[in-house]
Amino acid sequence: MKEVNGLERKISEGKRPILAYYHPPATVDLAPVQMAADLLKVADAVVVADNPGAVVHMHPLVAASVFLEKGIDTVLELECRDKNRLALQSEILGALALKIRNFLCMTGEHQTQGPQPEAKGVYDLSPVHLIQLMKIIEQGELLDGFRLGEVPSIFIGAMVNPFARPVELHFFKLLKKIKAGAKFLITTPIFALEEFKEFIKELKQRGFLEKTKVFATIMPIKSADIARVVSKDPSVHLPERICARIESVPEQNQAQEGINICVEIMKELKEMEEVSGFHIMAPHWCEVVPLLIERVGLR
Amino acid sequence: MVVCFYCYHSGVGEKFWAQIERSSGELKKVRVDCTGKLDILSLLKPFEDGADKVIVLGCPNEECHNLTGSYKAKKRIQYIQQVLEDIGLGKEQIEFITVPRWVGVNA
Amino acid sequence: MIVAERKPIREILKMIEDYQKILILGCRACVTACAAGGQKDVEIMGSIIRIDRKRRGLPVEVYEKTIDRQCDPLFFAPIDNLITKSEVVLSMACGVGVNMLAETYPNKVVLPALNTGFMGLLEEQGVWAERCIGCGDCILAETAGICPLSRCPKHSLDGPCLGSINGKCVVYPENQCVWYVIYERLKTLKQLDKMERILPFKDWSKTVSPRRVIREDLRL
Repeated sequence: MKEVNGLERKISEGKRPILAYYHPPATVDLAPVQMAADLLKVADAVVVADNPGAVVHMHPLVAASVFLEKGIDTVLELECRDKNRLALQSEILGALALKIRNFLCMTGEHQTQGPQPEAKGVYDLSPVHLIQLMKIIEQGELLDGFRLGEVPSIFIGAMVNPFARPVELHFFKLLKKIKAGAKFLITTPIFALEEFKEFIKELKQRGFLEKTKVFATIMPIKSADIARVVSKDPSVHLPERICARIESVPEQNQAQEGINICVEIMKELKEMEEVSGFHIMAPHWCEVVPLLIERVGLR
Repeated sequence: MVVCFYCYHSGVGEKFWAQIERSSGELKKVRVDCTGKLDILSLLKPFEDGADKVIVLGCPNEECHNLTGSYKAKKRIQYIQQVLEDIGLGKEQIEFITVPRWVGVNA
Repeated sequence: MIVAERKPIREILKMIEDYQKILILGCRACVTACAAGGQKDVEIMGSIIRIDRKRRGLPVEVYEKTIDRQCDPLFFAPIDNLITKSEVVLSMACGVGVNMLAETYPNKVVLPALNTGFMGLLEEQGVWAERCIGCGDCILAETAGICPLSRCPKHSLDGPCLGSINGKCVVYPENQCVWYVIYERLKTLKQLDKMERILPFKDWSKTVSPRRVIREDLRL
């Protein structure tokens, strides 16, 4: 019997783990990671991003090791954009050796959307294949059949956009992710609760919730300017009324208003038993994580 | 030398020619059925033959007898402007001048 | 067809700077269809070169010729004289044609006038778009004849990415998300069950250069 992963165990015990999203710094020293660790230790696990936005950051495995040293669990993001199957497998082995047990499989933003658009995109595997690859490794093998010996149980995650349309098309993709072995899903940021509830209903009807857990993503918005930038990202559904609400308050109060919005959303999400945990997405605003946890009364 | 292609549907008249001649010196007029008939090669040829400048006189887009002739001529001129720029001749060496169709022969 | 486009004029002029007897060689196959290297394009190129040399008072002798295909040396034979008397061949074929010339004429300088892009089709007048990456292991039977590898910037084999909203591509919003196109077509064909199938890992070894097709039955 394989040892049950910490995050997975917490969920099975009915606790609602809190994930904090983290961008490793673009530095050659670990001091910023150590500072962030002090703020993020209130979370159950830190999601360590892998070159988010196709922008170069420190290798996520290195940043994750700092969190692990301080006793903070991590979820390692793996993007298919920059790494082929060889690199992905070696990274997974390294992560397992460091006792990382949670992985988030994704494609990543396209390289042309970052500041180094001339880079060659890899895209050897798609996220569903990456999930399948993780399952193979969990069973103690590499893709070429090489036997690894004992491999611990892995908590495999994937991303989902509850607001993507057409719904049916996106559910086909989700079905494949779950069939491949995704045990948890992290949503894109939630601002539109009614639509999110519809999505959960659909998940339930299709029986997906028996196979996978949902982490609801909360994205605190610090200012009206940031709201405008976020609203241009097609993968984030930020309703106009939220932008307007942040804009309606004076600049010095906008951050506070952003937090208020999140608190309201989180309180509603807390009432939904289908939400197994939270994912606070504030990579440049770590201080907000302990604040939100306290205000929503999650501890 | 300036080579001037003009659409016979357009309202180019004596006054117009006088005005162009004043500013350009030697002028070679070439009548065409429609500026849309001028392909890239025929617009480049005058430069090979020593022209300093090429002017295309055509109808407004919406008045083109062949519907899309003026529009196409302008697109081709844009292409040639880029070529002239790349060669170092400068894109102002070719231009399209819109002449309304019914301004009359004295315009 | 193979889709190509003319290199910037400055780059071409710089390449041929040291030569006076230039053969501009067009190709009547793909590059004629994509308006890059056919007879018309050869004539325009010739004109541009002459204008440039005239402007700078430099001598030049330009020969213009277009042959049926540059990827087959058979078609070089009738113009062998022309190639021999030129100092340089400025090929307006795709990269394959340039290679063929170079391999056929070891002593001749051969230069490319085009940048060769992709295998594609005419989407609308003046717009060519990629439709096949030549992966060597066609999956179109699974995807309603629509290729996700050539039309998804992320080469997604398993469906739309999170940014595909209402059928629009997140990377190139002017494009349709190819998985939306596949989904709609499968729906029409009543084959939506294919959307549920996880395709096998792609065998990229089939794309390793240099690729070859060997037909023993045809070999001598």
